[in-house]
Amino acid sequence: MLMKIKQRYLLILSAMVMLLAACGDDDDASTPVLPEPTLDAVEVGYSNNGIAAIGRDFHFNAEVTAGDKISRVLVRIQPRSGETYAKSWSHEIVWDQYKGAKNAAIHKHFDIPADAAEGTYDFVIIVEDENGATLEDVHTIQIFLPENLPVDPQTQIFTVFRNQSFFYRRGKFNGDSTLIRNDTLASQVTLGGIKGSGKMYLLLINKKHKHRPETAHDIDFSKVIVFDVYQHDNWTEGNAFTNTPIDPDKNVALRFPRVKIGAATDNLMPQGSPITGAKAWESGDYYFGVVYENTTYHVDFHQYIEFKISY
Amino acid sequence: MAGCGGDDVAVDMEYPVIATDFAQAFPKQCDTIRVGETFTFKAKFTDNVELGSFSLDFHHNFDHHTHSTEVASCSMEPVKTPKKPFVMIKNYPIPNGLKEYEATIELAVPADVDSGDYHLMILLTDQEGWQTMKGLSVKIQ
Repeated sequence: MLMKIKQRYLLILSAMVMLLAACGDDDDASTPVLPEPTLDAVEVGYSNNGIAAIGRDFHFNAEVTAGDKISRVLVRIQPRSGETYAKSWSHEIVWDQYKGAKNAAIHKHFDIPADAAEGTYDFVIIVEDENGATLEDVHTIQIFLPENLPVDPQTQIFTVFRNQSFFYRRGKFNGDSTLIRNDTLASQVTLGGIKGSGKMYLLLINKKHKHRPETAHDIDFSKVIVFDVYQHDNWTEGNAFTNTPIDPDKNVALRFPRVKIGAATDNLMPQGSPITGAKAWESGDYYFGVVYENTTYHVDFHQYIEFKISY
Repeated sequence: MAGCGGDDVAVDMEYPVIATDFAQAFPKQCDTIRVGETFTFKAKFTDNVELGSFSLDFHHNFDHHTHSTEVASCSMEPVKTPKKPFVMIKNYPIPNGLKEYEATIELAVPADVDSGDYHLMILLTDQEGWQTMKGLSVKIQ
């Protein structure tokens, strides 16, 4: 289900002005051609996957550069001809706060309203310029009820072990939240709602790097200690995906990766990466989290916790 | 006859002791374990002379049964018929010569077992043969 992104730029007013400018060319050479607004770094849905769930948060990102100055920015979710819907529904959100700005980095999260109907819609980004030009950029989104999402990664289990005891489990630390040199870190992460092919990374990152990747694509391997990498391939049925699959006869995990605080190499596959340079062990605040990428459905998932390492 | 050596030979008359009342102990009474979860069983065992071995026995309590050894109950789900209950009975040695031992056993509950109310029976034996049983009610969810 590759998202086809259709872009059409409608520069109605600017075209009109150009015509006018052409007409008056002889009279007044100083009439300028109106510069049009431009868009960059557009993300419609997480990782630009164009997938929306009714009643849930939706991610939208765009960098706007005005032709002159921004008047307002809006998005419209509107039905397409040829598509069928359970009911008539459309949605518009207007953002006035960029008025007068030359450029804006728009990063918005909003809920898809509960009264939305499932289906494929046009997601139209509209930038109105103070100079009269209007840019329309049309994308495609698919709106699902949460239960009908093709994949819907959710953490079922997120446990961190310190020296074989629970360190973090069920959303809280089991006492002290500091790891010390030579502690052994282990972790189980289980994501429900998984299908197709995908890969999870479990990462330990010193917060000083200000690097907290939300997608596998964004991981800077020079800054992260890879605690685990594990993948699933071509699952036809929805299932839970865990980095510690279980032997049902012996009641033990078939794999249970560990990293010692102070280890020389991490658990990157196929070859561990040396824990030196920027990622060398030191005392400080760390992120520990999961970054999951579903390559079949282009869905990403991430979740981080924070704790201290005293080295 | 018992009186002959009574003064000299100490006969172990004490049961070994199972403790799950410290921070890292798991599971504790009424704890919940997720299906598909990897966890570490942790308990402290002590004996006045020498510890022997222990066993762990997980079985369902869908029928709300009782044990001769008291197992306090938690808030329980209604009685139900098992389809694929989690069952585990395993024996573990304790190294020789110890009066104190902290058991650390990595375990995992398969993802496809019945959720519901379970008992975990911990059976600890000392070298003399005295046995102590501690029953815990846990939920598998």
